[in-house]
Order: sequence, then structure tokens, then C-alpha cells
Amino acid sequence: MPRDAGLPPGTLNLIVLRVLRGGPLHGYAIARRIQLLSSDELQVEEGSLYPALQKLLIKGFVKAEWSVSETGRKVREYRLTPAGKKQLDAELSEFRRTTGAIESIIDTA
Amino acid sequence: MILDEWGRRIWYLLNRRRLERELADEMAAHREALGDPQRFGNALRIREEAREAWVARGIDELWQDLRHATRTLVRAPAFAVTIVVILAFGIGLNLAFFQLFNVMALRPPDVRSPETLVAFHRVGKSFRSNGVPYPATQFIRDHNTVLSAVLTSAGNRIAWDDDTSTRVEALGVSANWFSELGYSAALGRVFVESIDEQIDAPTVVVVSHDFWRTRLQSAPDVVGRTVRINDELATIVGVAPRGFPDLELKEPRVWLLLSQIDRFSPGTDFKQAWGSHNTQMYGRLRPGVSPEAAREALRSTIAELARMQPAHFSADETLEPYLATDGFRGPRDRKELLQIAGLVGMLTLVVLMVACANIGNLVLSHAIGRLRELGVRTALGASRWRILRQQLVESLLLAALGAIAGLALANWAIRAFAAQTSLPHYLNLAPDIRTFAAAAAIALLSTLVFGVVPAWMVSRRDLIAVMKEGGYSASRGLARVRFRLVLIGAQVMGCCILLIVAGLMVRGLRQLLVADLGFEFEQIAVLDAAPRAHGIRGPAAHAYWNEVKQSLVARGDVELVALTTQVPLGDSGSRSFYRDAQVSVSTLRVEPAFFQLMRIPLVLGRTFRPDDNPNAVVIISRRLAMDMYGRLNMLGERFPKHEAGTTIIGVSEDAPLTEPGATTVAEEYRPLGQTHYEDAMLLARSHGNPAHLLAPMRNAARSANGRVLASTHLMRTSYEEKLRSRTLAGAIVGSTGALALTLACFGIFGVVAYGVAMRTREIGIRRALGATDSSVIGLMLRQLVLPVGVGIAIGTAAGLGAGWLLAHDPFYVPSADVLTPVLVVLFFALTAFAAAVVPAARALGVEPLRALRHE
Repeated sequence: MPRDAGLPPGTLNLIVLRVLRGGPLHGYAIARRIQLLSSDELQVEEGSLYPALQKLLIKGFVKAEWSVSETGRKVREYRLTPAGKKQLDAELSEFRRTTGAIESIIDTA
Repeated sequence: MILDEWGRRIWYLLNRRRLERELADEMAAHREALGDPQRFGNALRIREEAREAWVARGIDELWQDLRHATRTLVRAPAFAVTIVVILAFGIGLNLAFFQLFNVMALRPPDVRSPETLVAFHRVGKSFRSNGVPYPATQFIRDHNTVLSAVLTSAGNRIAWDDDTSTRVEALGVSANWFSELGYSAALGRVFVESIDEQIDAPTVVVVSHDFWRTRLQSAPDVVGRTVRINDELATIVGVAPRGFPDLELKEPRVWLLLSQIDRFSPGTDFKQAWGSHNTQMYGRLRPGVSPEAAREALRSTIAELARMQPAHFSADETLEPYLATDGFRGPRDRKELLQIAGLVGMLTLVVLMVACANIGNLVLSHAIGRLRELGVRTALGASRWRILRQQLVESLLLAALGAIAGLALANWAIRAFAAQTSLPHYLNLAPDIRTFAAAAAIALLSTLVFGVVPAWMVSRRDLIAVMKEGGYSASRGLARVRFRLVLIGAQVMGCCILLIVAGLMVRGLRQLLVADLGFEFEQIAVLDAAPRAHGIRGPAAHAYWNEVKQSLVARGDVELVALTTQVPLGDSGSRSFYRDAQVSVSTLRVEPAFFQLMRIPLVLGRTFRPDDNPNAVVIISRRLAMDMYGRLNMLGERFPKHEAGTTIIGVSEDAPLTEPGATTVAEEYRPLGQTHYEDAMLLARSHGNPAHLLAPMRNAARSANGRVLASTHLMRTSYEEKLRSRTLAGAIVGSTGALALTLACFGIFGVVAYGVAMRTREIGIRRALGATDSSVIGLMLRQLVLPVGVGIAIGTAAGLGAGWLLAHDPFYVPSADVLTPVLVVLFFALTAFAAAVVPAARALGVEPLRALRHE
């Protein structure tokens, strides 16, 4: 899996799910949102985004539907499912726990 | 949820095209929105990665390979059809044999709980018997702790209704027979213990489904009908279901109750005879009891029997149990069966090998024809493994199709075979899971043989170079005929094996047809009056036969009559083994005229005289004399060796009476004693046509004693029947040999023709330089000498070895002659040479200048 600039490994799923919690988005919008929210720190390459989205589809964490975008184009929007919400919460707490542990090591060691 | 996930994957597979297109659109839209197309990356690769998330890559590729293979085969129909047809024959033959073996030997009989059903054989210090005296079976039934039921059966022949000339095969059984085996009637009822075992129960029979259909015209009112059987009126209480099996693989048409046997044969001592092994005994083991435990537990019952009947039982014998799941066979019989089956199986595999070698050549040629295409694929990024795999899938597809066609062919062949021989009707010949497994295994094996090596050879080439230069040099390298020659050698070897075995069998058959069996049978009729079964015993039987003989001898066309206890060309009776001899010995009690009647010469000594003591004299056959004593002149010596037994008064020529042509059997003749007349049968030699004697013999038997119902047959009919199965076997092996030969010739033809095509340039140069015609042909043929020679050498050795192994079963007659293999080899060499010369001769038509320009 090609590494994106600055994206910690294994967190792509988490980030995508989190972004989708705010509402359904299409692929380009997800990439833009991530860029925005991280103040240009993180950039997701499309080469990793779409495979990741497919995997989320397989697992049933997101659902995809066609609709019309603001510019009038047909776009496919991804929406978080209840299972996806549960998975997001699980991954969030896992992530927080891990980073918390690392932080405490850095601060005290 | 895992289930949901798989549901989604399958949904994806079904809608694949649409979903992939949608993804492409979606990514296109994303790219547009970006404004900088380059940043998007390789769209194709992303799509592939996305797709991989859904379908494992390997599966996807396999599916592609399959589709490609199908397309390739459809575009080369001649190639595909040829291979499938050849495979169908090769695989079909193997499957037919396997299925036959499966049905007759592997499958346990189709009865309830075969794992608790055992057959009992008596095993003593010096004898084995698969029969138990009837009164003993009843005693064992009532005095044991390990069997929940005892079943008994005894074969019989009865006269049905008013038909006195032919006998119907019947089986006398215990009343629990049908219920213990787990079958109820198709019409009416089967025997029931509570009703039919009573002393005064009415006489009842059950008929077989086939008998009801053919003899009784499927009459729906047959239940309750009375019919005359022998001289007794019996009621038909039911019709057995269609697939009801027989535990001895015979085909009884009528079942009667053993408890009522004396009603059908009045005066018989069947139920009280402690000395004869007249009944087959089976037992149902109680839950938790193993066969070994049963054997041990029954020792005490045998000890009681020994106390009650010390003349007929001894305490050190056992009742040996054999499970139904083993086909009622002991370990020694199983081993023998496996050996023979293994041998025949290997022969059929040889045919398959020849077929595969042929196919291998075809596949290789086909692959060479596609070298350019494969080069293109390599250039586009296919790995060597991928190319190899794709070829393998193609071969597997062909093998699968061949296996399916083979299954169909085998099915048809077995049914034809069953119709030709007289296999019992209740045998279920349909393929089962074992057959399918065998088909799959054979298909895989074939693929390995004909598919792997060509595929590997092709994938090894530098295919890009091939593509660039149009395929010439690489195909030349591949046509490095060495591999093809190896295939030719394999085919030649296979052919030789088959042809030699077939030749040996045919030769053995001819030995039977040519008259020197040691006896003459054409003019002889046999009378089976069974005095004992009609209650005529001892001296009364002696008197009975004297009367019968008198009325027959009075006829003008009767040359000789003689009594014997074993009928030549009939069922083989018991055989004995003596300590000092390797051969198995048939013992016959005969009248003095027997030897003259059967035209068996006496080498030394004399035949019996009326004043000989039946227990003091014996005549042995030549083979027995040589085997036991090492020399012929044994007159006056004791027999058996080292034992105070009887005196040898004559030595006869070998005459294997029940296994014509066998070389591992010998005969021992003794005079009839007073107790033997009741078991004897009468032979009569006619001056003219023995068929004219049959009715008079029956009448003579009846008029000497009104109770007797006799049956008659011609000895030559028995001979023809014995011959039939061997003829069939010989025909089968012979035709497979011919099939293999045809395949091999095609193979040789193809290789030489190919060699000519490949070397056209070379031939042109040689001829331009002045080579003679014969040297050009010699060039083409020289390459064949080694593989064909090696193939013939190994094939002959293996064929002779197989023939020798088969000969151990006296069924096949071995020939120590050199003539047969030599003839076979010559015939094969000539055929192969012809197949090679024809295409080689075409090389002579090559014009030098044209050849030089040939690309």
C-alpha cells in the first residue's frame, strides 16, 4: 500500500470514517475535506483512497449511492452505516489509547 | 458479519461489469475535479487494486485462464475433439474396470448394518469349510451369548410346476432371512419367524422380482397362488423387492424355508446330517461384540458340540467370522483378490498411458503453433508462471471433458458387459462417489502426464525472442524431437504389454479349443438324480443305480456308463492339499469304467476291480506322482507319502476335470464305497448324439424310483459355458490391445511426419548434394530405432511378466512358448515400420530448391 505523505500507517480507515460521520460525501470531497481539516498537513492520494473505500464497502461500514453534486454532475456518495459508526467508535478509542500510551512514555521517560 | 461480507462479495461478482464501470466513472469525475490529471495517478492500477479488494487475485486470474482456455479450444475444434475422444476411451476403460471391481468387491452387500453381519466358516486342524451341518447351526443358534440372530441358507435346484426338464435355482433359508437383511416384500409378504417356523406351518415360498417379471408375467394376483414344486404343493406368499441381494452373488429365483426342506425332498436327511457341510451360516453380532470376541465366545459352544458329536466335531476347531463389510472374505482371499485386481488395473492404466503419450504429442504441437501469441503475452507482462498455468488450465479442461465422456462410456460399457455375462440383476451398477473420485483422480493423473511437460517446455523458452523472429528457431528447438521420441517409446512399450498379454490369453484359449485337455467330453451326458436328497441311502442307493444303469445300457446308442462323485467340467468340489505336494488335489470316487468313458489313459497299472477294497486302493494322476514322489512308477507304494494310507494301483494321465487346462491341479481317484452311491452322478457316453440320451436318462431315474426327480445336461454345454467367460476376457484384452496399437501407430506417423516438415531445409540440402533416396529415408527413420527398440524390449519383458503373474490363477493358461511374444513383436515392428515409412517417403517428394527457400 503506497504510503501517503505524513499519514500514519493504519489510520486511513479511521480518518475516512470520521470524515463521513459528518454526512455523506463523494470521493473527491472526502480527499478535500481531509486536506482542509488537517490544514494541508495530510494529503490522501487517490491511489490509496479508492481501494480503502472499496474495503470499507466490503466490510459494510459504508454504503454508496449515486446522486447529483453541486455542479450538476452524477457523483457516488459514501455514507456511514450503523455498523460503520460502531467501528468508528471502536477505532477511535483504540487510537486514543495507543497515542495516549505513547504520549505518556515521551513525557515521562 | 462474515456472512454479510460474503453476500456482498457475491453480489459484486454478479454485477461486476456495472460496478467497475461506475467506479471508472467516479474516478474520472474525481480527476476532472482535480484539474491536474497527473496527480491522480495511474487510473488503471488503482482500478485493479480496487477490484482486488473484492475478488482474490488468484481466483480472478483462474477464471480468466478458464475463459481463455475455452476460447482456444473452441477455435481449434479438431484438436480438442481428438483429445477428448482419445481420453474418453482411455479413462472410460479404467473407470469401467474400476466400477466393476467396486460393485463386485469393494461395496459391502446392500443389507442392513453390514458391519455387524458375519459369515462363519469352520476351521479345523486339517480342513476348512464354508459350510456347517444344519443341525449344528440350530444348536449354535440356541446356545450362544454373542449373536442376536443366526441366518442359514443352502442352495438348491427345484422343479417348478410342470416343467420337468429344467431346474430353477432356489435358496433354502431361515425364516428370519429377509427381516435380518433389512428387506420387506414388494408384493405380499416375506418369511416371518412367528408364522413360518411353526412345525405345522403351511408350505410357502417367496419368488424373486426378476422371476415374477419373466416367468410369471408380472401377474398382480400371484400372491396366494399355489404351485407344484418338486412334488409338493406350495403357496407363493410374496415377491421379493427388485434390488434384493444374494450374499453369495448367486441369483436364486425362489426362496424356500430350510425348516421345510424335507417337504420338497422327502426322505432327505438334510436336517439331521451331522457329517455334511450343507448349510451356510451367518450371524448378527450383538451390539458391542467384535468378530474376534464372538469367535472366542463360540469356543465353548463348539466344545459342547464336540461332546455331543465327537465323530463330527472336535474341540480345537473354531468358527471363523468374516464381516459383510469385508465381503465375507478372509485376509488371504482379500490379498489374492487385490493382487489380481491390481494386475488388471495396471493393464488398463497402460492403455491410458499410451493414450496420454499420444495426447502429449498433440498438445506439444498445438502449443508450438501458438508460440507467437505466447510471446505477445509475455511482452505484455505475463510471468512465466502465468503462461505455464494457463496451459495447465487448458489441459485440465480437456482432461475434465475427457473424464465426463469417459464416465458415460464406462457406464455404457458396463451395462453391455453385464448383459453379455450373466451378472445378477440386483447388482446396482450405477456409479457412486468412489467412481467419481476415481474419475477425478485419473483425469488429474492424465493431465500430469500429457499436460505438464509440454507446458513446462514451452514456458521455458525465450518467448519474446520467438515473437521477434517469427517463431522459427525456437520451434525448432522445441521440436527437439527427443521428448517426442520418449513419448513414442512409452507408447510402444504399452502396446507391447497389451498385445503380449492378449496373445497369451488367446493362445491359452486355443489350448482349450484344441482337444488335448486330457479327456474327451463331446459325447457325454450327465444324470444328476441325487438319491440322498430323495431319501435313498447306502445299499439302497447302490441298488437304485444298478437299476438305472441296466435300463440305459440296454439302449443301442449307449457305449458306456459310469458313476462318479464329481462331474467333470462341473463346479469344482473340495480340493485337498497334501503335505508333500504343491499341487491342489481333487478327489473323485469313480466306477472302474470311468477312465475308459472319459478317455483318460492309464499310464501305469490298472483300473479298479469289483473286488478292490474302496478304502485300500487309489489311482493318482501323473502330476501328483511327480510332485509328491519325484517319479512315475509308484505302483504298490503308499499314498499319501509317509502315511499308512492306501496303496497306489495305477497312475493316470493328467486330466484337470474342473479347471480345464490348469497346471497346478492333480487328481486322485478312489473306488465307490457303499456310502458314496447316494452322492454319485451318472455319466453316459453315446455312440451318436448325446442329446438323445437326456430324456431316457431322466425316465430311467424316475422309473427306478418314483420319488426321484432328476436333472440332466450335456458335458459339452458346461464346457462352452466355461469357455465363454474366458473368450470374453480374451476379446476385451485383445481389442484394447488393438486400440493401443492404432494409437501408437498414429503417434509414430505423426512424429515422423513432423520431423520431415521440420527438416525440409536439411533434406533439400542433402538431396541437392546428391543424397540417395534410401539414405534420406534412413535419416528419417534412424531416430526411431532407439525409442522403439527400448520400448519393445521393456514392453515385452513387462508383458511376459504380467502373463506369468496372471497364470498363477489357473484361470489363465500360461504358455511356456516363445512363439507368441516373438510373433507379437514381429507384428508390431512391421506395423510400426509401415507407419513410419509412409511419411518418410514423402520426404522424397521434396524438391531441393523449394526446400531451401522453405521457411
